[in-house]
Formats: sequence, structure tokens, C-alpha cells
Amino acid sequence: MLPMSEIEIESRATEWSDLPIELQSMIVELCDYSTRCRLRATSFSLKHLADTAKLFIPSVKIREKRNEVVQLTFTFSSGAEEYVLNYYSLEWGQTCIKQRGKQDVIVDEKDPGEATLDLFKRCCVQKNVTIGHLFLETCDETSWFENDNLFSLSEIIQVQKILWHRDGDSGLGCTILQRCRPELLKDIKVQEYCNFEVILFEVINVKAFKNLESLQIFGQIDAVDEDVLALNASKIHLESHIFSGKLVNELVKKWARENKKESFCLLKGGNFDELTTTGFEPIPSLEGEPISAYRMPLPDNSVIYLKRGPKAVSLEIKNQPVSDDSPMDRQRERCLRTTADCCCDPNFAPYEDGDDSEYDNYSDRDSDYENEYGYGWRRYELDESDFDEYDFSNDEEDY
Amino acid sequence: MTDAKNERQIKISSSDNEIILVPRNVIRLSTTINTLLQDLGLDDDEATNAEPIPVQNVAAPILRKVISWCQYHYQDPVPTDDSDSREKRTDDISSWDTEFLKVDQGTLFELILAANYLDIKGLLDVTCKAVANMIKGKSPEEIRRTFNIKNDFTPEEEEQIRKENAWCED
Repeated sequence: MLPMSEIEIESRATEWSDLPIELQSMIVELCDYSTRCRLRATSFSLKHLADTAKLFIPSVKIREKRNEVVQLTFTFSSGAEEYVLNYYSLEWGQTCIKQRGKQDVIVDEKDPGEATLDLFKRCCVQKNVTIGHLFLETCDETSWFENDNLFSLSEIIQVQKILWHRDGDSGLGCTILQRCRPELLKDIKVQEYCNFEVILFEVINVKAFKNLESLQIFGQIDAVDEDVLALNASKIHLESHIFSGKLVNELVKKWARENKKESFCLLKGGNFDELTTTGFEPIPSLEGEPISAYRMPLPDNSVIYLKRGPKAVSLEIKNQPVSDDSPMDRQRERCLRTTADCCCDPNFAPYEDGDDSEYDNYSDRDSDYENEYGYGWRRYELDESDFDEYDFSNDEEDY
Repeated sequence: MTDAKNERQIKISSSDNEIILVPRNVIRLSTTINTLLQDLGLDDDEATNAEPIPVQNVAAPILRKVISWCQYHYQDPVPTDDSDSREKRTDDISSWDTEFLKVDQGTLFELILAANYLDIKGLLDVTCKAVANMIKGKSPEEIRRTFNIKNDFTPEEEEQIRKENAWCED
């Protein structure tokens, strides 16, 4: 007969501590962020689990605001859980962190940039954390992000999409791009609101971004023809005065060679005089429009469309038979006949980007709180003259 | 759910040596048993296996509960692998599963262990979600009480964690 103590052990109900660590971790991964924070405060082992269990953060925003404040916003649970922290610069090198409904916190010996990055790194720059959409807004009126050592070499950011609103030559955007894990990053979009050239290809190895699906830089960039040819992305918008017509022809050859599907590339600002349309058949001219359009059917029934305007060239490949009278084709032809504006517009049919919808929930929102402090989202106005024959709708809505 | 009663039966035995007959199509949800049957060449045999498949880690009451879950779900689409690139939900437990999981905490953990041992992804997902839902909304002290967890922090460590968490506390 078993002693009493052993009988008790045998009949003891299974508890949390009886689950293997892998199963405990699986459960913690299902917990939202605030629950994880409470788990951290429960015990050492649960703190470790909460700190290491895989975490997906749908949206993080870092906004550098005109010499006043840095704003850090975390959005969890498809928008249901949002935290907005505002870092104000105080005298004597201090920073005040303001958050609605909470007491102000004073941080000594750190400027708003350092204090912001402290929390950003603790929450986001971890092996177990993936950010869906990182929104950056930078300006050049502070020196908070000018330090070359914002991130150490061992700090890798796992992020899928980056939207960078760049108003000035702040170091934050490029530094973050340098620290991104290339295998994960799928989308880079830079909206430029100043006349500084975006130095991107010089500081990051774009060739390493094999999974990059979209690269759109709405401003002058330091790219040369070879940089564009090295990209695998299927959605490209780049502007450089040194792009050549040969680049377009080489891109056509590359797409045809690689059996590229459903891709769009708009190159702006270069000298495209050397562009040849050999192999293309002209699409009936657009009367009174400064656009020439051509198409080249490929053996696999896809078609490459080439559209050339006075300031830009667009290439698009569609995997549809030429004879296919689909609504999309009719829309494209209608588009070609009616207005030149949309011919080079990647946001206009026939290019469809189904992924954008997932960002509807995380679109940039001005909370009452932001307005209360008087630094709500400043709506930038594009200089329409830059796009006189293209009509890029507000890209931020895409996100 | 269609009637699986007339299909080929597989004999399995629990850790407490109870033999249970389960339709082949139902137990297919268990990757562990499925692989075992294939590896032993028993998958082609039309007859019921003479020797029961031992499920050594699962007692009869839990095994019967697992089988009842499989009987309800064996025609569900195969669950896809969870992606790290999206948030995981816990509010999508079906009403049948909600009723099924109205059990005491010990049984729920036993079901998780059984689902893990038998490699039944759908059951493991739903039982883990049920535990995650039990944790949600609870304070650290309530979590400790609910799951019999010892607070092994010093007061200084607790204060440090409280400061770290202050920005996202309700």
C-alpha cells in the first residue's frame, strides 16, 4: 500500500507548472500585450516567458515633431489597444513623458530621442518581436536622432513594412533601415517633403533585401541604373536624374528573362532619350496627351506595357492574354484613351495591391489627445507641379 | 458531421489500460497515431488491429474526451500553420468548443497535454486559447491565485517591473 503522501501526489490535479515550457509559451503567445505585461509581474519564469514568446505588433509609429516632442505610438489587437507616449524636452537634459490618463514621468539625463528609443528597443528590437508596419516621421530641426550610434550592431529590427515621412535630413530613418532584417522587410515607402536627396542605396545593401516586394521613394534618390536592376521588387517607384533609357530596356529584358508576373515600375526624372521601343507595338496614340504607350506580348501570354511621358517612364507586366477582354483590360484601355494622368499612376488600375486593405485599421489617426496638445498630424501638401502628369493620391491612406 | 460509426475501427489503449475503439477517419486528426499506423503498415489493413495502439500518456477519461472532440471535428478543414506575421486571436472559439471546454482547470491542462502528445493541432489551439482567455483581464495576483504560481520576486524587483510596465497598465 502506498504511503499517504504518494497517494496525494498521484491524485493531484494537473497545474500550469506541469505544462512543458513550449506549451506555456504557446499560451503566452496568444495573450495580448497588456496581459503579457501582467504576466511579467507574476513570477520570474512567467516574466521570462512573456519577454521571449513570439509577439506581432501590428503598428508602431515614431514621430519627430519640430523641436518639441517625439511621439511613440504602439497599436496592438487590430487597433483595440493603443498607447501614445509623448516625449518632451525639458531643461537640464531631462525628458518628460506624457501619456493620457497617467502621471507624467521625468527621465533624467536623456533627451526625447534617447528616451523614445529606450522603450522602442525594449518592446520592439527583440528577437521574438515582429512589427507589421513601422511608421516614421522625421524632421531636421532636432539633433535627437543624429547620433551615429542609435543602434548597436547586434540590434536587429524585424519589420515587414516601413513608411517614412521624411522632412529633413534626420538620421533615424536610414539608421532603422540599416538595422532591419532583410528577409522580413517587404515594403519600403519614403515620402519626401524636402529637397534633400534620399541617401538610401549608399547606406543600405538593397541587394540583400531579396524579399522586398515594393520600394517607393517619392523624392530624389541616390540610385543608379544598376541599383534598380538589382531589385526583385514587383512595385517600384524611384526618381533620379541619372536614370537612363537603357535602364528601361534592361528592365524589360530582365522581366522577360525572369518570367516576372504582375509588376509595376515607375522611373522618374532621368534622361530617357536612349530608350528604344524595339519589340513593342504602339497602342493607338492618345490624342492631345503627352504620353506614348506601347505593349509587348510575351510567349507566356503576359504583356509588358511601356508608357512614356515627358518626365517619367512606366513599365508594367500583366499576366493576362492580350485578347482577354476582362473588365481590368477594358479599364486599362479606357484609362489610356481618356486621361494621360493615370497612365503612369501605379495606384490606378490595372495595378491592384490587395495588401493595402489590411492597413485600414492602422491608418494614421489624430486622436483627440493629439489635438489637445496641439500637435496633431500635420497634413503635408504635395507640390503638384512635381507630378504634373501623374496623380499620386495620398499614399498614407494606403497604409 | 457525418456518421463515422460504420467505418473501420482502430483500437487504442489508455495509460490505465482501457481499450477504446475509434473510427479510423476520426483518429486521423492525431498525427501521432496516424504516423504510427502508417509506419506499422496497419493503414492498409481493412480489419481492426488486434493489438491496441498504446497511448501511454493519456488516461481513459481524457482520451474519451479527446476522441469526442475528434468525432465532432474530423471533417473540419486542415488547420494551417500559424503565421508569425499576424496577431493571434482567442475570441474565435466556436460555441460547441466553448461548451466542450467547460471543464475544471486540471482537465483543461490534461487536454492540452493529450492534444500535444497526440499531435492534434486543432484541439491544442482551442485549449491553449481557452487558457489564454482565463489569463486575460486578471491582475498578477489573480493570475498567481488562479494558476497556483509562487511570487518569487523581491519587493525591489516588483517595483522595477511595475515601473517598466507603467506605460501600458490600465
